[in-house]
Amino acid sequence: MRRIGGVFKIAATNLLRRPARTIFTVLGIALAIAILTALWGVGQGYQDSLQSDVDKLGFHVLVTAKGCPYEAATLLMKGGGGLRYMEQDVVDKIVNDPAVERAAPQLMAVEYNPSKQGFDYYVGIDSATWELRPWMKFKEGGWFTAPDAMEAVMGYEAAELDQRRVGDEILMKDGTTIKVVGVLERIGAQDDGTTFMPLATVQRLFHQPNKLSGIGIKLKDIRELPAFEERMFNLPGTQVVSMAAVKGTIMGLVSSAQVMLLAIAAIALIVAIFGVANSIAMSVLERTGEIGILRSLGAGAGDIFLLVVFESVLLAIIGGVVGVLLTLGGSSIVESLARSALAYSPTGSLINITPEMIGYALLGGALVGLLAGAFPAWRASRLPVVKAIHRND
Amino acid sequence: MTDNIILSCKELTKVYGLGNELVHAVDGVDLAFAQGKFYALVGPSGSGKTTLLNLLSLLDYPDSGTITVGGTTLQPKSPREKIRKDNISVVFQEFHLIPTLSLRENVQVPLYFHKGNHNGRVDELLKLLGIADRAQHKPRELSGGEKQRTAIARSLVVQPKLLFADEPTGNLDSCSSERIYEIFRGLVDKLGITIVVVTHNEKMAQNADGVWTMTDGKIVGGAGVCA
Repeated sequence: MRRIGGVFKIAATNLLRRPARTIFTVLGIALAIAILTALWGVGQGYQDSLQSDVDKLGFHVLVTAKGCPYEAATLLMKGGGGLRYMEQDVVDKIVNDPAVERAAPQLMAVEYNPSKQGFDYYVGIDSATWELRPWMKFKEGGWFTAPDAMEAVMGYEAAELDQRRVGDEILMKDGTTIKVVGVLERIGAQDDGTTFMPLATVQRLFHQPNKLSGIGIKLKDIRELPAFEERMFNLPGTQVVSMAAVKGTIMGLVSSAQVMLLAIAAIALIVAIFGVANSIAMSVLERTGEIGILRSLGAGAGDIFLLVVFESVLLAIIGGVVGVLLTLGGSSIVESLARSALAYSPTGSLINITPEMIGYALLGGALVGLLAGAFPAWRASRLPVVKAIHRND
Repeated sequence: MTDNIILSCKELTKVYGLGNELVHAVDGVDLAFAQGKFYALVGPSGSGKTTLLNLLSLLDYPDSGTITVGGTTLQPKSPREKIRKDNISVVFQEFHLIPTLSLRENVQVPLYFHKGNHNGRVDELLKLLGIADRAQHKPRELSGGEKQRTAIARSLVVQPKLLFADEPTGNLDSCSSERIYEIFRGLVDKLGITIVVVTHNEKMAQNADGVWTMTDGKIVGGAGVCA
């Protein structure tokens, strides 16, 4: 124990000899670890948030008008216009299907708001949507008074952003006023930023009578999905897409980008390994005489190997810790960069750094140190004592 | 010679290749060292003193010949690390102190690699060598003489029976050199350590219990001491 402790002490103090070299080497490792951890965190956070968004839609399957099903699903998830429309009578055919527990028709509409210099998103729904999302709770007010009332229920953030309260009126572009009858509690999903109106009201306001953007469907048993899809195939002008497939497709696209970024991060890590190896090799070269003296004072070849490896591993672990701190400190920057770069971003946090990731990052750092230090350590331990002592003579 | 011999060598030879030539750095040397005596090895530069010291201190392997330490005879290829660790310490012209450790921590370094209880030994040595008041200082804050005394304390902390010193005063002024000699003398007289010094320092050689002169790898003059 005394031996290990002593060798560790010498290794630790060796790092203070050339502070600039130590700092630059640590920064090299830190950046590589930070990039890797951030990418991993983004992958995990994105997946968690996407899963949460999909879960909070409350349905397993989406029936939309024919077109790109993933585009339709994404637009429905994040809000937006430009969708194809389908006829409302499809709903009657769907609800009669034995696999369907509930079908929630929706019509999405967009209106330019010059005061915000942006778009307002409106979603027409009926009570089925409400029933599919039992986690939706009113912060104030309540549900529409009638299926065609000129009323709105606003998501938490939509109300905050527009500073609306129950009783306020929303002035539409055509001069119609819509009364806010309810404000929802925050649920951490896309619905927070949405303004809901009765389905018939949106159809009338946006001149889409009997039209729907899509129908969210909850199946009695998700295992019925293949058979249900088969039956829906015969419905004219429609297509069925499962939310699991949507999630899989979005994650697939994000993963492709992530793989490329990870490749860059891996290169950064390899460069860091060589950086540490170079730094340690230089350090060993400078201390050749000292290593010889340590051997003459009783240190064995194993002690010298341990000394150099400790130094390398310590350097890399410090780099790992700094890298993790950089990731945690810069996660908001990484998140905003990711949001601007990704076509679709879920509402929750995009970066999720778990204690497990931090553990792996530090372990990875230690491994970098071990890989980088092994060769210089092996060489140092094999130096003939006399040659080492007299190298600089 | 009596059976008080702690170290001896017989027909010790070390040959180096220098270009196409073979240099006999140590050429058939026979020597014996008694316990508790102070020896000097002198001779012109390149005569093979340091090579002989490296062989006798078991830091290097001879090409032929034997070395006997405390009754154990080592053949040219015999492993010698353990015997060296248990019996021998070496001091060099270059101090090679670890710059990031204090004087006291430098002296403690060999204890990491040796078993046994050496508590109190460090303080005792620092006092004996007159550097106790500098114990917390880093090597860059020490004079050349203090550095060499630290290196000597470091080599003595594991209580060796034999101390080899290769030009220990080579980097020191005359005053510091004098002090080192007095320390060596005291170690021999008070602690009974055997010291072998390779030196150009005349005073050190004159006051040694035994002096050997080396030229071209051979012992050409001087005499050892019968205990």
